[in-house]
Amino acid sequence: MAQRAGLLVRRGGELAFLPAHVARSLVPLPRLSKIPWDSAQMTLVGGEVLAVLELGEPSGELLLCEFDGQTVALSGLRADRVGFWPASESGVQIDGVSVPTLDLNAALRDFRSDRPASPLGAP
Amino acid sequence: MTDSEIKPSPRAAVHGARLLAALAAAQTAAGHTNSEQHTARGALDRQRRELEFAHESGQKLSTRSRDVRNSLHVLRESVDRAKLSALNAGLEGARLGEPVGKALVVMSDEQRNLLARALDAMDEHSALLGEVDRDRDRCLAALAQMSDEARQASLALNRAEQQGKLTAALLHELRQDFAEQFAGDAEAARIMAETAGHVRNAASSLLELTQRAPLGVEALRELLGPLLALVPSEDGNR
Repeated sequence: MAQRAGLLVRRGGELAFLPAHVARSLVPLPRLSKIPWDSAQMTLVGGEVLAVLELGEPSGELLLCEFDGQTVALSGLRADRVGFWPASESGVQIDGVSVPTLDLNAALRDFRSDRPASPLGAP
Repeated sequence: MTDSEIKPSPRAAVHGARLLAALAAAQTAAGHTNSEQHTARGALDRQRRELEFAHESGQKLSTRSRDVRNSLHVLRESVDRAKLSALNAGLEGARLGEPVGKALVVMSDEQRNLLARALDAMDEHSALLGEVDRDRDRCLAALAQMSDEARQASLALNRAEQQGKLTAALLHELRQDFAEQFAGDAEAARIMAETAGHVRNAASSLLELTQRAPLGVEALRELLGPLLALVPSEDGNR
Protein backbone atom coordinates (compact mmCIF):
# COMPACT_ATOMS: atom_id res chain seq x y z
CA MET A 1 0.00 0.00 0.00
CA ALA A 2 1.28 3.50 -0.88
CA GLN A 3 2.57 5.64 1.96
CA ARG A 4 1.51 9.21 2.45
CA ALA A 5 3.70 11.69 4.30
CA GLY A 6 2.12 14.47 6.24
CA LEU A 7 0.96 16.07 9.46
CA LEU A 8 -1.78 14.92 11.82
CA VAL A 9 -3.74 17.73 13.44
CA ARG A 10 -6.56 17.87 15.95
CA ARG A 11 -9.55 20.00 15.10
CA GLY A 12 -11.72 20.03 18.19
CA GLY A 13 -11.48 16.40 19.28
CA GLU A 14 -11.11 14.96 15.78
CA LEU A 15 -7.91 13.96 14.00
CA ALA A 16 -7.32 15.15 10.45
CA PHE A 17 -4.49 14.62 7.98
CA LEU A 18 -2.67 17.25 5.95
CA PRO A 19 -0.26 16.11 3.21
CA ALA A 20 3.38 17.24 3.60
CA HIS A 21 3.22 19.21 0.34
CA VAL A 22 0.32 21.28 1.77
CA ALA A 23 1.44 21.72 5.40
CA ARG A 24 4.51 23.94 5.26
CA SER A 25 5.37 24.91 8.81
CA LEU A 26 4.09 25.68 12.30
CA VAL A 27 4.60 28.96 14.16
CA PRO A 28 3.51 30.23 17.60
CA LEU A 29 0.23 32.09 17.22
CA PRO A 30 1.08 35.69 16.26
CA ARG A 31 -1.21 38.67 16.66
CA LEU A 32 -4.22 38.39 14.35
CA SER A 33 -5.91 41.49 12.89
CA LYS A 34 -9.50 41.68 11.81
CA ILE A 35 -10.21 43.44 8.55
CA PRO A 36 -12.72 46.29 8.99
CA TRP A 37 -16.25 45.48 7.68
CA ASP A 38 -15.23 41.88 7.15
CA SER A 39 -15.01 38.66 9.18
CA ALA A 40 -11.62 37.81 7.66
CA GLN A 41 -8.42 37.96 9.71
CA MET A 42 -4.89 38.73 8.62
CA THR A 43 -1.52 38.26 10.18
CA LEU A 44 2.12 39.01 9.50
CA VAL A 45 4.51 36.02 9.42
CA GLY A 46 8.10 36.37 8.25
CA GLY A 47 7.37 39.71 6.59
CA GLU A 48 4.47 38.29 4.60
CA VAL A 49 0.81 39.27 5.12
CA LEU A 50 -1.36 36.13 5.24
CA ALA A 51 -5.09 35.43 5.32
CA VAL A 52 -6.08 33.41 8.39
CA LEU A 53 -8.78 30.71 8.23
CA GLU A 54 -10.23 30.17 11.67
CA LEU A 55 -11.07 26.47 12.00
CA GLY A 56 -11.60 26.28 15.77
CA GLU A 57 -10.80 27.72 19.17
CA PRO A 58 -7.34 29.36 19.40
CA SER A 59 -4.70 26.70 20.13
CA GLY A 60 -1.60 28.87 20.47
CA GLU A 61 -0.17 27.80 17.13
CA LEU A 62 -0.66 28.70 13.48
CA LEU A 63 -0.26 26.25 10.62
CA LEU A 64 1.03 27.70 7.35
CA CYS A 65 -0.17 25.85 4.26
CA GLU A 66 0.51 26.05 0.56
CA PHE A 67 -2.79 26.03 -1.26
CA ASP A 68 -3.46 26.89 -4.90
CA GLY A 69 -0.09 28.60 -5.08
CA GLN A 70 -0.96 30.80 -2.09
CA THR A 71 0.22 30.60 1.48
CA VAL A 72 -2.72 30.42 3.87
CA ALA A 73 -2.59 30.38 7.66
CA LEU A 74 -4.89 28.02 9.61
CA SER A 75 -5.75 28.75 13.24
CA GLY A 76 -7.66 26.60 15.72
CA LEU A 77 -5.72 23.42 14.91
CA ARG A 78 -3.35 21.58 17.22
CA ALA A 79 -0.46 19.73 15.53
CA ASP A 80 -0.22 16.16 16.78
CA ARG A 81 2.61 14.39 14.91
CA VAL A 82 4.37 13.97 11.57
CA GLY A 83 4.90 10.67 9.81
CA PHE A 84 4.40 8.27 6.93
CA TRP A 85 1.15 6.30 6.98
CA PRO A 86 -0.61 3.94 4.54
CA ALA A 87 -2.96 5.83 2.24
CA SER A 88 -6.69 5.24 2.55
CA GLU A 89 -9.60 6.33 0.37
CA SER A 90 -10.25 9.51 2.34
CA GLY A 91 -6.83 10.11 3.88
CA VAL A 92 -4.52 7.75 5.79
CA GLN A 93 -4.84 4.61 7.93
CA ILE A 94 -3.41 4.93 11.44
CA ASP A 95 -3.53 1.81 13.63
CA GLY A 96 -6.42 0.51 11.55
CA VAL A 97 -8.41 3.71 11.84
CA SER A 98 -9.04 5.90 8.82
CA VAL A 99 -8.12 9.53 9.36
CA PRO A 100 -9.62 11.86 6.72
CA THR A 101 -7.67 14.57 4.91
CA LEU A 102 -8.56 18.06 6.08
CA ASP A 103 -10.76 19.53 3.38
CA LEU A 104 -9.14 22.89 2.74
CA ASN A 105 -11.42 23.55 -0.26
CA ALA A 106 -14.47 23.32 2.00
CA ALA A 107 -12.78 25.47 4.66
CA LEU A 108 -12.01 28.10 2.07
CA ARG A 109 -15.58 27.97 0.72
CA ASP A 110 -16.96 28.43 4.26
CA PHE A 111 -14.54 31.27 4.81
CA ARG A 112 -15.71 33.04 1.65
CA SER A 113 -19.42 32.44 2.23
CA ASP A 114 -19.16 33.72 5.85
CA ARG A 115 -18.09 37.10 4.63
CA PRO A 116 -20.92 39.55 5.29
CA ALA A 117 -22.30 41.95 2.68
CA SER A 118 -20.69 45.37 2.87
CA PRO A 119 -22.56 47.44 5.48
CA LEU A 120 -23.61 51.01 4.92
CA GLY A 121 -20.69 53.36 5.09
CA ALA A 122 -18.16 50.75 4.03
CA PRO A 123 -15.89 51.95 1.27
CA MET B 1 -11.67 56.71 129.47
CA THR B 2 -10.64 53.56 131.45
CA ASP B 3 -7.72 51.25 130.68
CA SER B 4 -10.05 48.42 129.54
CA GLU B 5 -11.63 50.76 126.95
CA ILE B 6 -8.25 51.84 125.58
CA LYS B 7 -6.46 48.48 125.43
CA PRO B 8 -7.75 45.73 123.13
CA SER B 9 -8.86 42.43 124.62
CA PRO B 10 -6.29 39.56 124.56
CA ARG B 11 -8.48 37.67 122.05
CA ALA B 12 -8.63 40.66 119.70
CA ALA B 13 -4.89 41.02 120.12
CA VAL B 14 -4.34 37.42 119.02
CA HIS B 15 -6.66 37.92 116.02
CA GLY B 16 -4.90 41.13 115.18
CA ALA B 17 -1.50 39.43 115.28
CA ARG B 18 -2.79 36.65 113.01
CA LEU B 19 -4.20 39.20 110.60
CA LEU B 20 -0.90 41.01 110.50
CA ALA B 21 0.84 37.75 109.62
CA ALA B 22 -1.82 36.96 107.00
CA LEU B 23 -1.42 40.41 105.49
CA ALA B 24 2.32 39.92 105.26
CA ALA B 25 1.81 36.54 103.55
CA ALA B 26 -0.76 38.03 101.15
CA GLN B 27 1.65 40.83 100.26
CA THR B 28 4.41 38.31 99.52
CA ALA B 29 1.99 36.21 97.43
CA ALA B 30 0.92 39.30 95.47
CA GLY B 31 4.59 40.05 94.81
CA HIS B 32 5.14 36.51 93.49
CA THR B 33 2.02 36.84 91.39
CA ASN B 34 3.37 40.00 89.81
CA SER B 35 6.67 38.35 89.09
CA GLU B 36 5.02 35.30 87.46
CA GLN B 37 2.73 37.51 85.40
CA HIS B 38 5.70 39.53 84.24
CA THR B 39 7.52 36.34 83.18
CA ALA B 40 4.42 35.01 81.39
CA ARG B 41 3.92 38.29 79.57
CA GLY B 42 7.57 38.30 78.46
CA ALA B 43 7.23 34.75 77.11
CA LEU B 44 4.00 35.65 75.35
CA ASP B 45 5.59 38.73 73.77
CA ARG B 46 8.49 36.60 72.50
CA GLN B 47 6.03 34.10 71.04
CA ARG B 48 4.12 36.90 69.37
CA ARG B 49 7.33 38.19 67.78
CA GLU B 50 8.14 34.67 66.57
CA LEU B 51 4.65 34.41 65.13
CA GLU B 52 5.06 37.68 63.30
CA PHE B 53 8.40 36.50 61.94
CA ALA B 54 6.78 33.24 60.79
CA HIS B 55 4.04 35.29 59.12
CA GLU B 56 6.63 37.39 57.29
CA SER B 57 8.41 34.23 56.15
CA GLY B 58 5.11 32.93 54.84
CA GLN B 59 4.60 36.11 52.85
CA LYS B 60 8.09 35.78 51.40
CA LEU B 61 7.09 32.28 50.34
CA SER B 62 4.23 33.86 48.37
CA THR B 63 6.70 36.00 46.42
CA ARG B 64 8.99 33.03 45.77
CA SER B 65 6.03 30.96 44.66
CA ARG B 66 5.10 33.68 42.15
CA ASP B 67 8.70 33.67 40.84
CA VAL B 68 8.59 29.89 40.42
CA ARG B 69 5.27 30.19 38.59
CA ASN B 70 6.70 32.82 36.22
CA SER B 71 9.73 30.67 35.56
CA LEU B 72 7.46 27.67 34.86
CA HIS B 73 5.52 29.82 32.40
CA VAL B 74 8.71 30.73 30.52
CA LEU B 75 9.75 27.07 30.54
CA ARG B 76 6.36 26.02 29.14
CA GLU B 77 6.61 28.58 26.33
CA SER B 78 10.10 27.31 25.46
CA VAL B 79 8.97 23.69 25.42
CA ASP B 80 5.95 24.61 23.27
CA ARG B 81 8.26 26.30 20.78
CA ALA B 82 10.68 23.38 20.84
CA LYS B 83 7.74 21.09 20.09
CA LEU B 84 6.82 23.22 17.06
CA SER B 85 10.46 23.12 15.90
CA ALA B 86 10.49 19.33 16.20
CA LEU B 87 7.28 19.12 14.16
CA ASN B 88 8.71 21.50 11.53
CA ALA B 89 11.82 19.33 11.25
CA GLY B 90 9.52 16.33 10.83
CA LEU B 91 7.58 18.15 8.08
CA GLU B 92 10.85 18.79 6.23
CA GLY B 93 11.63 15.09 6.52
CA ALA B 94 8.14 14.18 5.32
CA ARG B 95 8.57 16.42 2.26
CA LEU B 96 11.90 14.75 1.48
CA GLY B 97 10.02 11.45 1.45
CA GLU B 98 11.19 7.92 2.18
CA PRO B 99 13.85 6.75 2.73
CA VAL B 100 15.82 10.05 2.93
CA GLY B 101 13.45 11.91 5.20
CA LYS B 102 12.45 8.96 7.35
CA ALA B 103 15.28 9.44 9.87
CA LEU B 104 14.31 13.08 10.30
CA VAL B 105 10.68 12.16 10.87
CA VAL B 106 11.62 9.48 13.43
CA MET B 107 13.93 11.90 15.27
CA SER B 108 11.21 14.54 15.24
CA ASP B 109 8.69 12.09 16.69
CA GLU B 110 11.10 11.06 19.45
CA GLN B 111 11.74 14.71 20.25
CA ARG B 112 8.03 15.42 20.32
CA ASN B 113 7.44 12.52 22.76
CA LEU B 114 10.14 13.77 25.12
CA LEU B 115 8.76 17.31 25.02
CA ALA B 116 5.24 16.01 25.66
CA ARG B 117 6.56 14.29 28.81
CA ALA B 118 8.24 17.54 29.87
CA LEU B 119 4.91 19.35 29.40
CA ASP B 120 3.12 16.73 31.52
CA ALA B 121 5.74 17.15 34.26
CA MET B 122 5.28 20.92 34.14
CA ASP B 123 1.51 20.51 34.46
CA GLU B 124 2.13 18.34 37.51
CA HIS B 125 4.49 20.98 38.95
CA SER B 126 1.86 23.66 38.41
CA ALA B 127 -0.76 21.58 40.21
CA LEU B 128 1.63 20.90 43.12
CA LEU B 129 2.49 24.57 43.30
CA GLY B 130 -1.23 25.36 43.50
CA GLU B 131 -1.58 22.96 46.45
CA VAL B 132 1.45 24.50 48.18
CA ASP B 133 -0.09 27.95 47.67
CA ARG B 134 -3.37 26.85 49.23
CA ASP B 135 -1.59 25.25 52.24
CA ARG B 136 0.56 28.36 52.68
CA ASP B 137 -2.52 30.62 52.62
CA ARG B 138 -4.23 28.49 55.27
CA CYS B 139 -1.04 28.55 57.37
CA LEU B 140 -0.74 32.34 57.03
CA ALA B 141 -4.36 32.85 58.08
CA ALA B 142 -3.85 30.62 61.16
CA LEU B 143 -0.62 32.44 62.04
CA ALA B 144 -2.32 35.83 61.76
CA GLN B 145 -5.15 34.68 64.01
CA MET B 146 -2.76 33.25 66.59
CA SER B 147 -0.63 36.37 66.54
CA ASP B 148 -3.74 38.42 67.27
CA GLU B 149 -4.77 36.08 70.10
CA ALA B 150 -1.26 36.21 71.59
CA ARG B 151 -1.44 40.02 71.49
CA GLN B 152 -4.80 39.96 73.29
CA ALA B 153 -3.44 37.55 75.93
CA SER B 154 -0.37 39.72 76.41
CA LEU B 155 -2.56 42.79 76.95
CA ALA B 156 -4.72 40.90 79.46
CA LEU B 157 -1.61 39.77 81.36
CA ASN B 158 -0.35 43.33 81.34
CA ARG B 159 -3.58 44.56 82.89
CA ALA B 160 -3.48 41.74 85.49
CA GLU B 161 0.12 42.69 86.31
CA GLN B 162 -0.90 46.31 86.92
CA GLN B 163 -3.75 45.18 89.14
CA GLY B 164 -1.40 42.88 91.02
CA LYS B 165 1.04 45.71 91.69
CA LEU B 166 -1.80 47.86 92.94
CA THR B 167 -3.00 45.08 95.22
CA ALA B 168 0.49 44.57 96.66
CA ALA B 169 0.80 48.29 97.34
CA LEU B 170 -2.62 48.41 99.01
CA LEU B 171 -1.74 45.39 101.13
CA HIS B 172 1.44 47.10 102.24
CA GLU B 173 -0.42 50.25 103.24
CA LEU B 174 -3.13 48.27 104.95
CA ARG B 175 -0.61 46.34 106.95
CA GLN B 176 1.08 49.51 108.11
CA ASP B 177 -2.21 51.22 108.99
CA PHE B 178 -3.42 48.13 110.77
CA ALA B 179 -0.24 47.82 112.80
CA GLU B 180 -0.54 51.46 113.88
CA GLN B 181 -4.24 51.28 114.69
CA PHE B 182 -4.33 47.88 116.31
CA ALA B 183 -2.76 48.70 119.67
CA GLY B 184 -5.25 51.40 120.69
CA ASP B 185 -8.60 50.51 119.11
CA ALA B 186 -10.24 47.04 119.32
CA GLU B 187 -13.18 48.01 117.09
CA ALA B 188 -10.82 49.36 114.43
CA ALA B 189 -8.88 46.11 114.67
CA ARG B 190 -12.06 44.16 113.94
CA ILE B 191 -12.95 46.32 110.94
CA MET B 192 -9.40 46.14 109.63
CA ALA B 193 -9.45 42.38 110.05
CA GLU B 194 -12.59 42.13 107.93
CA THR B 195 -11.06 44.40 105.29
CA ALA B 196 -7.91 42.33 105.29
CA GLY B 197 -10.06 39.25 104.69
CA HIS B 198 -11.54 40.85 101.56
CA VAL B 199 -8.09 41.80 100.31
CA ARG B 200 -6.86 38.27 100.91
CA ASN B 201 -9.73 36.94 98.78
CA ALA B 202 -8.73 39.36 96.03
CA ALA B 203 -5.11 38.19 96.28
CA SER B 204 -6.24 34.54 96.02
CA SER B 205 -8.20 35.34 92.86
CA LEU B 206 -5.15 37.00 91.37
CA LEU B 207 -3.00 34.03 92.26
CA GLU B 208 -5.50 31.72 90.55
CA LEU B 209 -5.41 33.92 87.44
CA THR B 210 -1.63 33.74 87.40
CA GLN B 211 -1.71 29.96 87.69
CA ARG B 212 -4.03 29.80 84.71
CA ALA B 213 -2.02 32.14 82.50
CA PRO B 214 1.01 29.83 82.06
CA LEU B 215 -1.37 26.97 81.19
CA GLY B 216 -2.83 29.13 78.41
CA VAL B 217 0.67 30.00 77.19
CA GLU B 218 1.62 26.32 77.24
CA ALA B 219 -1.50 25.37 75.27
CA LEU B 220 -0.72 28.09 72.70
CA ARG B 221 2.85 26.82 72.38
CA GLU B 222 1.62 23.26 71.71
CA LEU B 223 -0.75 24.59 69.07
CA LEU B 224 1.92 26.71 67.41
CA GLY B 225 4.69 24.09 67.33
CA PRO B 226 3.47 22.16 64.23
CA LEU B 227 2.51 25.37 62.41
CA LEU B 228 5.87 27.01 62.97
CA ALA B 229 7.55 23.84 61.69
CA LEU B 230 5.71 24.33 58.37
CA VAL B 231 7.24 27.72 57.73
CA PRO B 232 10.96 27.93 56.90
CA SER B 233 13.13 30.37 58.83
CA GLU B 234 15.14 33.24 57.30
CA ASP B 235 18.15 30.97 56.53
CA GLY B 236 15.93 28.38 54.79
CA ASN B 237 15.92 25.87 57.67
CA ARG B 238 12.69 24.64 59.23
